[in-house]
Amino acid sequence: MKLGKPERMIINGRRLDGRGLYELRPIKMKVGVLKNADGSSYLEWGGNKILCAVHGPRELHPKHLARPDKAILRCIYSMATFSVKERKKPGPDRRSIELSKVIREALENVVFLHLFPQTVIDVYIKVLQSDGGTRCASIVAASLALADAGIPMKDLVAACAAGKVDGQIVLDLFEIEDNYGEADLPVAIVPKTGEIVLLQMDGNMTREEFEKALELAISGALKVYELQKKALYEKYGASYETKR
Amino acid sequence: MERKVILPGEFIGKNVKVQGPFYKIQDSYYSSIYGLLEDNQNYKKIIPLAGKYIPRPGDLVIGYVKDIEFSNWIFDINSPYIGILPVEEFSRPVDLPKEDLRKLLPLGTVAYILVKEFGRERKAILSLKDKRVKILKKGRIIEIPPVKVPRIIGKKSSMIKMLKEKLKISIIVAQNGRIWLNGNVDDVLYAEKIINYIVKYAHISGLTDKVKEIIERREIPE
Repeated sequence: MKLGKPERMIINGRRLDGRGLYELRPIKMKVGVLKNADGSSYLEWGGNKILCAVHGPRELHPKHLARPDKAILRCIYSMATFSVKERKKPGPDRRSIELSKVIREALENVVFLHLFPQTVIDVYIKVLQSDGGTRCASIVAASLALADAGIPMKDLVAACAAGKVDGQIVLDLFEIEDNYGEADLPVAIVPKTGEIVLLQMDGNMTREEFEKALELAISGALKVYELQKKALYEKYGASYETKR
Repeated sequence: MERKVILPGEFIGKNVKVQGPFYKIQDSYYSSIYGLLEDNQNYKKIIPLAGKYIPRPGDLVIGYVKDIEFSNWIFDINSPYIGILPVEEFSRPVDLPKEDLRKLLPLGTVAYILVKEFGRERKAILSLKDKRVKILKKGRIIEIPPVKVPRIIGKKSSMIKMLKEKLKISIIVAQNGRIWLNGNVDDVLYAEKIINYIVKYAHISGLTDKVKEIIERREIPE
């Protein structure tokens, strides 16, 4: 069973889930949720529910993958069978291999891999429930878990998507907009330097629309960045005298 | 002394003395990890809250034999890098063709052992040629995050001295986050709870006195 395409996705400046055009979905983040991982995080972003665990740096097997000058980052994105409406066949497929790759490449830009030669840092991302925009949400969760594991980094990575729906540029697409919208533009940035570490586009936009969407996605990512910082402060914040 | 949470990429200051994991862009210093920033008068110190043990020459660690090669023992030292004990570093000279390494230190042997070298090869060379090292034959080993080891030892060993005195057991705290406890079973199990409590509240100041009170009342900490 699939939902059919809605006739209109923006009515009187409101989207199907009641948001304005430039509004994010509600986001909840928590770090240090798993005992057996070195670092972990849990993220709820609208209908997305994502659990992320980081192990390492640890000894790398098979040994031939090891690099003498730096650690390698291994990222595994996977969706739970129950994460979507119809059962998702377990195991890696074309899409999850691609997502693992783009997430890894985004994170490699901030992690100081040269500090741990010959080792591996494993990042496991499990999507428990999917509602569009999981690649951005996964990057956000993964960078929180890396920080929680005490891994040296240049900065956190923040991400957010923008897109085009019903001819209008909107922020943070959810599943229906993602499926039936005209374009989707996920962006991940390193807020400190303003570097873009992930930029993909699905669909068509004019150059002007693209520029507007990119700007909007970056502004969304900066809001997400503030929430990431808040989540990290809160893990220890409560037990400290100096709160921010 | 003020302590606050610091995040990766957070600005620390310009032209300041910084201890701990940081990175520098021109004159500005930034933290590279999620930890605590201690504001001392002359310098700022970043205290990590998590992280793995990276061997340093001179450290004493607790490891166990996980593999035996022709002329080496391979130790697990709770680190991303393995420890190697070459026969030359065994406590006495070994006549290789005649003696069986498996009999000298069988698989699973636990030792409190010295890290002699740690170079670009990224393998810790271990040594038993030191007065402080010990083969651990009985007792209990628990693991804590290596970054919390300084807390278990305390300022000028205050915490560890107090624990040994009050709990009446032998304790060895190794730099790699493994702790060896030996003594009466009940005392050892109680000590384990106390250590877990210290790890949980490692960031609170005045913890030694608080722990002392708990032990004197023989309370079971939450």
